[in-house]
Parts: sequence; C-alpha cells; structure tokens
Amino acid sequence: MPIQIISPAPFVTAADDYDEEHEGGVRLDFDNDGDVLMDEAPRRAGGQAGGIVTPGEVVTDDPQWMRGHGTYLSPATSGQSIISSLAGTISKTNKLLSIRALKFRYIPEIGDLVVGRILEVQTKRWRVDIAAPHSATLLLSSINLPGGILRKRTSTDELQIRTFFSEGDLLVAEVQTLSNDGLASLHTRSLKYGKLRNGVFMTIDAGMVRRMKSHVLTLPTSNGGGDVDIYLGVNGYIYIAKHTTPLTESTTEGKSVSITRLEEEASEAIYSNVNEEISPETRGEIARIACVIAALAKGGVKVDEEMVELGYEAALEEFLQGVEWGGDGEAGKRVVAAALAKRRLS
Amino acid sequence: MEGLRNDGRRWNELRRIHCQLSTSSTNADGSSYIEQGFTKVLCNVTGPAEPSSRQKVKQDSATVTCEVYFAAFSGTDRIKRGRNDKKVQELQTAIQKTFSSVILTHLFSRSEITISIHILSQDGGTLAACINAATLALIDAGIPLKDYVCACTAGQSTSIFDNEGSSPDPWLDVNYLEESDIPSLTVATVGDSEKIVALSMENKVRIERLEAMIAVGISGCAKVRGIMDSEVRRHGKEKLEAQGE
Amino acid sequence: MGPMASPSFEVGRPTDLDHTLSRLLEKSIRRSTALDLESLCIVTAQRVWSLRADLHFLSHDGNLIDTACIATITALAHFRLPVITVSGEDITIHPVTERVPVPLSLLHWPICVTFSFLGEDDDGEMVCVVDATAQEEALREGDMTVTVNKNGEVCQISKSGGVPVEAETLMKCARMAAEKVKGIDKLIAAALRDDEVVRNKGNLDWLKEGKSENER
Repeated sequence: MPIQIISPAPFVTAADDYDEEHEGGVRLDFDNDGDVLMDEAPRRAGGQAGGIVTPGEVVTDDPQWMRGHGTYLSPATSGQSIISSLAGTISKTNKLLSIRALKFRYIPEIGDLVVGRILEVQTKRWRVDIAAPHSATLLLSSINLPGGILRKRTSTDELQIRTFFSEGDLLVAEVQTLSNDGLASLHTRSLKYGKLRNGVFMTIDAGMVRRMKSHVLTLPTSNGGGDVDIYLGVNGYIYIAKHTTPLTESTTEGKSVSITRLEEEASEAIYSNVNEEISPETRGEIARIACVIAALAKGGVKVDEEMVELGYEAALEEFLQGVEWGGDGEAGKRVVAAALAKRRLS
Repeated sequence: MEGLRNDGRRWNELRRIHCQLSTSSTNADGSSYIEQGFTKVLCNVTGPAEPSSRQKVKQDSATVTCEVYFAAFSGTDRIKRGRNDKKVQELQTAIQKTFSSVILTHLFSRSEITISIHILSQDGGTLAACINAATLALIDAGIPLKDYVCACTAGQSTSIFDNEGSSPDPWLDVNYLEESDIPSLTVATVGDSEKIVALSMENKVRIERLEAMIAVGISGCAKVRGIMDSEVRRHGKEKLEAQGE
Repeated sequence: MGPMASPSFEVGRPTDLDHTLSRLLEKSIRRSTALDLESLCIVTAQRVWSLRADLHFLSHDGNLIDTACIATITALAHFRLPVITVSGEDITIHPVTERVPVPLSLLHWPICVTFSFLGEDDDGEMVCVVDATAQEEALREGDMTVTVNKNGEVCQISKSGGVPVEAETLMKCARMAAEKVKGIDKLIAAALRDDEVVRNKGNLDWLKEGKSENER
C-alpha cells in the first residue's frame, strides 16, 4: 500500500514579540496563519469539538466516576482525576467511564466468530493467529473429527494432527473460553466452522467489523458468479469463498433424515487442502467483494451485511459504467459514497 | 537580539512540522509520518502481539522493542548503517527506554510492542523526530500512553557572544548545519507537565547555558505537542465522521 | 564485561549496558575533544598513532559508567607516548630507554556523574542518588548521566527514558555534578602525582634492570 502524503501545512512563523527571558520561562508566540490549530483552550473533555479525547487529557475531576478501560488515575492529584490514555471517544456506562480508541487490536470475547491462521502445531493443540495480543489455542478435542460428530478422540488422531490443520491453514472458529489474562480458546464444533478454502483472505482493522447476529453471509452475485460466502471475522480477518452447498445445507436444515450420511461425506471434505475448480466469473465477483470491503474499511465505514450488499451493488453499477477498479483511490471513494447514499434511501 | 539564522528563522522559531497518522494501512497496527523541516521519519507500530522470541516474554508487562533504520540516502553522505551501528543502537535504546516508561505496559502482559522507525531524511533533530513519530504511531495503534511524549532540540548559539554577561540566545529546533556547528541538546517531555523523560546532549557547553537551553527545549516541546494534538484530533474527527454516517 | 564482574553478565553477549557504556564513554571523551587528536599525528594524512582503551570490569557493584570513565581518563592521563623523530621519509620511534616518553595532550578531563532517580517522596520531590550501588540501580526508576569537566563545561548529558523528572531537578543534578567533578578531578590529580613520584624512582630502577639484562 503506498504511503499517503498530503500536501504540507502552511508555514508557522514566529511572532516578533517575546518577553525578556527569565528563569525557566521562555515565551514562544506563534502566529496562527491557517490550518495549524494553536488554541490552547483548557483541556477538558466534552467541550472539545468532535468529542475526542487524547492521551494525557483530564476526562473528569469528579470523584463519582469510576475509571474504565483506556483511562488511568492521575498520581499528581492523588487519584482524584481520571485521565485518558488513548485517543478516542468517551463512553459512559452507569458510573463507569471508559475511552474507546479509534483503532485498536482485537480483544477476544466469548462467542465471537473469528477467522484465524494456524501458527504452530503442538501436541494435542494448535496455536492460531487471530490478530489479538496473544495467539489463541485450538484443542484437538474441540474440533470435529472426520467420521461424525460423536466419534471418540483416539491417539491416532493425535499423531495425525497435521492432517486436520497444518501451519498456515486458515479456519473459521468461535471463541469458546477466555482465560483470566485474555487468552482465547477456540472451537470448531459445528459444521459452520472449520477449514477455509476456495477463496481469498483479507484483513481490515478489527474495529471495522460491526458485531452482528451472523457473521457468515451468502451473497448471490451477478455476472454468472453464483453464490459467494463471506466470513466476516470479528477480529478483522475476512475470508471470501465460493459458496459450498453440502456444509451449509446440513447446518441450516439440521434435522434432515440423511444428516449422518451427509456429515460423513462432508467431514471427509472438511480437512481437504485442495481447492475446487472456480470459474473465472466467480473469481471476478470474489475479487469485487474483497475490493468493496477494503474500500468500506478504508473509508471508515463499519462493515456489516447491509453495507457489503449495498457496496456490492454500487460497485456493480460503477463496473457497468466501464470503470476499472481495484478497490482503492477515487473509484473506491465513489463506491463507498454510493453505498452510503443507498443506505440513507432505504 | 535581532538577527536571523542561516535558514531565515528567528531564535525561537520551529521549523514547519507536518504530521500524519495511519499512513500505511497494512501490516501495522499504527503508523505515522512526520516532517520537521527536512527531517522525515516514518514509524510503524505493531502490537501488542505475541513476542517474537522467548527472551522478550515478561510475565507482568509488555516488552517494548524499537528498530531504527536509516535510509542510506537520508544524510548528506551516502552511508549505509547496519543493525549493529553504534548510532542505530543508541537511538534504539533511547527510544525503547523512553517509551517503556510512558506506555502503560502493565496492561499487556506477555506481549510485545514493536516500534519500527524508518529515517528517510536527516536534517537535524533526528532523535526528536523519531520520538514524535513514535508517539503518534502509538496513539494511532490505540496503545494506552500516560501522555504524549514530545521531543524538541535546542542549540546554544555562539555567534552573538559578548562579555557583558548577557548570554547569547538559545536556538530552538536546530537544523543539520546548526547541529554540526553549535552545541545542541534534545529534550523530550511527557505531556505538558514539563517533566523531562529523555535528555541527550553530545557537545561541550558551559553549565550556566544549560538551563536556558533546556527551558527553550521544553517550551518547544509544548508547542510540538500542540501541533501533534491538533493532528490527532483532526484525524480522529475525520474518522468519526466517516463512521457516523 | 564478563561473568567475573557479576553473574548476570554472560560471555559473548553484549547487553544494553555494554552499548550504553561504550557510547557514553565515546561521547564523553571523544566527542568532547578531550584528547587532542592532532597531537597523535605522526605524518600528516599518512601516519598516526592509534590508541585503544580496554576496560575490564572486575566486580560490579553499581555505577559502572562513572567508574569506567574515571578509569579511562586516569589511564589516558597516565599514559606516556614514545617520542618520535621524523626526518624526511624516515620515522624513528625512540625506545623509552632512550628518551623520556611524553604524556598525551589531554585538553580537559571530562568526568561522568550518574544520578539514579528512586521515585518521588511524599512531598512529590524526586529522590536522586549519586554513585548508586548495584542494589540501588536495580531499584531505580530512571537515571541520568552528566559529563562535566572541572571548568564547569558540560560535555554530554544523557537521560534516556525512565521516570519523568522536572527540569529544575535535572539542573540541580547538573550543578551538583559540576561540584562533584571538582573533587574527583583532585583525586585523580593526586593519584597521578603520587604515581609520578613512584614512577620517576621506579623508572630508574627499571632502566638499570634493562641494562643488566642486556649485559647478560
């Protein structure tokens, strides 16, 4: 990604007048000619435009508030005032005052759907990168073993651990438990979860994925692309793949008669590393969706089901006008703007 | 007292500062770019993440690692500085120590925060620009800091010296020519507390002059902080507006 | 720095302290032009003396930087360079037995004083300690090294990170360093003077020994 360098700010010049210097006190007066804001307004939260606090800013002196995330107590005033340690917005829950940073690493929570990548294979477990401060663990006992859900884990499975997931494999999983210090443990004990293939992997900032009821979307695409599955990991990892029928069928229909047989068949394919044949049309649409998501995230718009659909529509319209597009630059901004306009209409 | 420096500035005049957040959108949790005059520095912050080696694991706090890269074309002479170059090592240690005391590391046990700094162009005040860039990148990465760390240089001019006891003006924010000519120091403060977290001087200067230099440096830091803060706010506002739609 | 000084030092692995130390000494002594480098020149742009200071730490109980600095300065002041005569292309290095070697031209003696900050006391006043022991160093929250010579010229200041400190406290430290240095300077001078006496006497003995060896 190229480095963005915007045009330089106007020059800041020094004013002529200054006081005779005294011990420890040199006055520096600067003209304010243009964009560089120099107003030294009393640094108090709330009164600031945009509602943003920055590190070191006193959020409140009021002792009734409790200190939450992103803040610390000032040692100078013996813990009276709450000071921000992040640049972000204030959020108040009852008496708890916390700061939400504009951008932050993913902090796992139980029940989150995440997309991850296997970092390391250990005995009986995998270490999975989920873009969090610590890598998550996936125990051999919390995956679906081939041959039906209820099969007992054997020592052969332990020896064959690499045949399920090996280093570099992508998977979709759910955060099962969290330890005291925030270490996540994952599970893939559902046919919705498991190894990912037949598609592309991309990352956006973790905060850019809106938490939804379902993070797996199936989008019917045009141009002969067929259906495309989108796994919107809460951790900002996203996988976009060709829609695969048997897996989702069995989970959505749940109680079909042939479920066991279906699952057996499915489970054979579950840990396959071979991609299916994907038509150029599907590839094109997958790429387009990836571009839409990248453009949305870049434009600062939270990614959710609605925005992906609207963005995709907008991108199609842009495409019909004969514009080449790589998800970046002006066209990207246009698509995002069009998608936002559509949302306002609906 | 009147008189301009070789680049037309007054004694208390900062060079143009241009800073930017989130400059590289991939592979880094936070990034920044800062220009102070012709000194140009790019900074990426990764973390808190799994430590890259076992040695770096601390049970009760995060490890701060700093990597500094000098571009071979950054100075007037084309010098390739390797990883083991003394100047590189010194900068790394200075930045790492400075930020270890300002980042609230106790919140991220057993993890590592990596600050990697690329110096694209040097025109005096390299350490100061590096510290400022790192502060911005850390803020962008959403890593909790006690406060801004802002750095600035100050020099001691020798040209307007007279024997009457009145000392010559200290110069704020020295450029490369001045830096190689006159004694100068780099001072880094935490927020607007006027408390010094890092101070470095490499030349000989009378102890009586030191105080004025430090004072000017601190005032410069406060100004730099204002500029950086307004950029952070501008960036944050932009981002909020995009999200709010 | 080997495990002899302290068990925490490992062989062959330079620590951060190593880097800090060598950089500080270099900044203090070389960059402050304490040593007149021109005097080490034999033939302009062709031949020069090369000086090398090796420091070995025998025991580590804190304040390595100051100790190392004092040791280096004393060694440099104590060092005598053989006399040379240049005639045309020929360079003769006179053995010490022939001509009395000359001292290096040290312009001033920069001396490091390291302050350790042990945090604030109840009144919010920073507690500073000079010449900290290893134990105090383990406890400190920040440190600063000031290099001053006896003329009150500050050659180098370095405070990287650690606890934030008021500028006023730092200035107080710098002034205190200037005072301390005067004392240290006197100590070094006295030691050198004492040595001079012994050396002058010893030198003759040594000369005699050398001669008797030759005769043998």
